[in-house]
Amino acid sequence: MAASPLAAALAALALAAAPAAPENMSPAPGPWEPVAIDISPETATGPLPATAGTTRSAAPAGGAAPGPAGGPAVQPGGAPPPTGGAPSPTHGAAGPGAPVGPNTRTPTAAAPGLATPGMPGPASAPVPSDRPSEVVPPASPPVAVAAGVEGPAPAPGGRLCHGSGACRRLLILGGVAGGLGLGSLVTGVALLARPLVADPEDPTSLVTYRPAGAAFLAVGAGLAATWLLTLLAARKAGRLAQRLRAAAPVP
Amino acid sequence: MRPVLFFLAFAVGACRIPNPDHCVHKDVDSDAWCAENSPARPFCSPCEAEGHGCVAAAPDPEACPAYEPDGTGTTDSSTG
Repeated sequence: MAASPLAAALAALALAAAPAAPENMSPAPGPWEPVAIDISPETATGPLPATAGTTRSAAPAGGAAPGPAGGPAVQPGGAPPPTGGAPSPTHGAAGPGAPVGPNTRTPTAAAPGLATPGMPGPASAPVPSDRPSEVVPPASPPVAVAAGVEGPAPAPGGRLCHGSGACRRLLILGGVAGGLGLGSLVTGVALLARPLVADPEDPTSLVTYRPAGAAFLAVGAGLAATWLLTLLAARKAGRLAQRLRAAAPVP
Repeated sequence: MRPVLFFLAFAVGACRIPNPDHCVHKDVDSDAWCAENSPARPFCSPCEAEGHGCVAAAPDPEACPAYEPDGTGTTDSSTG
């Protein structure tokens, strides 16, 4: 137990020699946030936590033997871990083998995507704006402006025709044809479903509506095909109108 | 106006076809066919629909002028 005051003194010395935290460091959650230990009150007053980042900075000053890469530091005199085995919330995310530390992954020219939020770059390089969501204003006002003011005005012909008169006429024609076709189909089915009955005036003859029903079915099928083709033509006309509107210069 | 009338006429248009179940269309000698298939009603009446048109008594020519006994020479075939 005589090593405890010595460990506390070494920790305090290492804390004094540790580099200051960058100004842009924030306690936002993330897998690389354990570097925030530099500003936590527990680290400032209590013993030094055994993490790779602090071990790297404390090792030259305190003389504690550095552990394996990313592993906990080996305390002199067999002292127990300073944190008492209960990792703090900020340190719990990074395990002993997790790549923690400012020099673990730094943004380079070859791999700029390695720039991690909260991780400072090289000392000579300026600190990048690693949190654009905090600097850039919300994107909702530009969206509202782009939808309401900028760009071409909404087409008066609706979402399908985009202002094309031919498309509208085709839609109307197709609607009429489709309605007539649907009516013809229903009538044809109804006529075909009627049973054969003997003619009351001439029992030797039967009255049937099947030929008329078949004719109605044929006409209805033709009108339905017309409706479909007209709808396709109207859609094509609408797309053409939309393309023309998009290509037209905005005054 | 004409298309509407054509449409209505076409909608209500019905066709008359020969009743293949009637004795008149079963055989040329319709009375003989009725006598063979229903001996109780050996006469074929074109004015009756039940029982294949076979009746027990000979139809009255005044009440059913279309009746023609066998061997008179003409056959009835009406189409719509």
